[in-house]
Amino acid sequence: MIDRARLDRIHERVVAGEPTASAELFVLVHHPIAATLRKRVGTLLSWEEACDLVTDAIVAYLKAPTKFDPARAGLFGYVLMIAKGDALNLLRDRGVNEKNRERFVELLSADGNTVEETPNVKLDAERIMAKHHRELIRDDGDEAVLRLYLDGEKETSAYATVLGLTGLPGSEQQREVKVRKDRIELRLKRLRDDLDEQ
Amino acid sequence: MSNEATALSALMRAAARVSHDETFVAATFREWCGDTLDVDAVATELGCEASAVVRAALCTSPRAESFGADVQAIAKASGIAPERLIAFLREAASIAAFRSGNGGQLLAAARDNPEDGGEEPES
Repeated sequence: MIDRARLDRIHERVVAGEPTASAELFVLVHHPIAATLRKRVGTLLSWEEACDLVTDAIVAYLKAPTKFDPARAGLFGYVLMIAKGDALNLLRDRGVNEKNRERFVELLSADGNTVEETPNVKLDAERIMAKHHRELIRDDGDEAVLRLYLDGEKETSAYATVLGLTGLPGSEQQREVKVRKDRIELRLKRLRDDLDEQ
Repeated sequence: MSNEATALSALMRAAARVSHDETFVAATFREWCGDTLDVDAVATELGCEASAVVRAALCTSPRAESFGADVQAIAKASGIAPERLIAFLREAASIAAFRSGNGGQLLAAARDNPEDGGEEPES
């Protein structure tokens, strides 16, 4: 376990412009972050690619250290987040097949981004529902809501239609739709957490 | 490969990768070497281990306003004799200046050996 206080001191030294701080950061975190990245992404990335992604992430931090807020997160997680984002971009650009693109969603979502905040991710709704049906769907309404959700549907009216709520006042439609969507999001989050632990 | 060897290998790769970025000492090391960072050659020149060269390479370049102190700090953190590192960095800076002032052509010409079939420069 890397001492967060030590990383915080390194950050202070980086901000102060001390030349030895960067090397200490590389020595401390480069290998662990590369190993963590490969653990998350698996064989989709070679060891060399993981190393290069982490190098580039550390350099990105070093060139703009004030973008990192130590009050919000640890430096290890910050650099890992940059590397993960670049890894997913690399794999997406490489045109990885649909099965692995589903894994992109899980990885992106593990950082706290919702599906709607990742418009560039094309989701494979059929694959997700087929593979995780039991965890996500309890009734026909859940399935309809999930399909719309994974398609990035934002309009309440669309959800209200599939749930048969169009006869209700607008405010009640919104409330009922929100309850359903929140339930689906919670199940998706639990699913991501479970997959991350595997 | 042991975990330590893997980590060092990864850091050597990182040093090579940042050697094209003037922000890092690695770039100066690469300038001295030519086109590619040769950690072993630098280690021989500095009289230190390859791991020390990698450590120094991943430092950011000494600041102009505190060059001496920064080089001392880099040397101490890396396990390199400070006087050798200073001399090396000054030599590397000279080489870089020579190259950037089209001295590279003269350097190449000076290296040509007529016995190897190279053309002699016009007088």
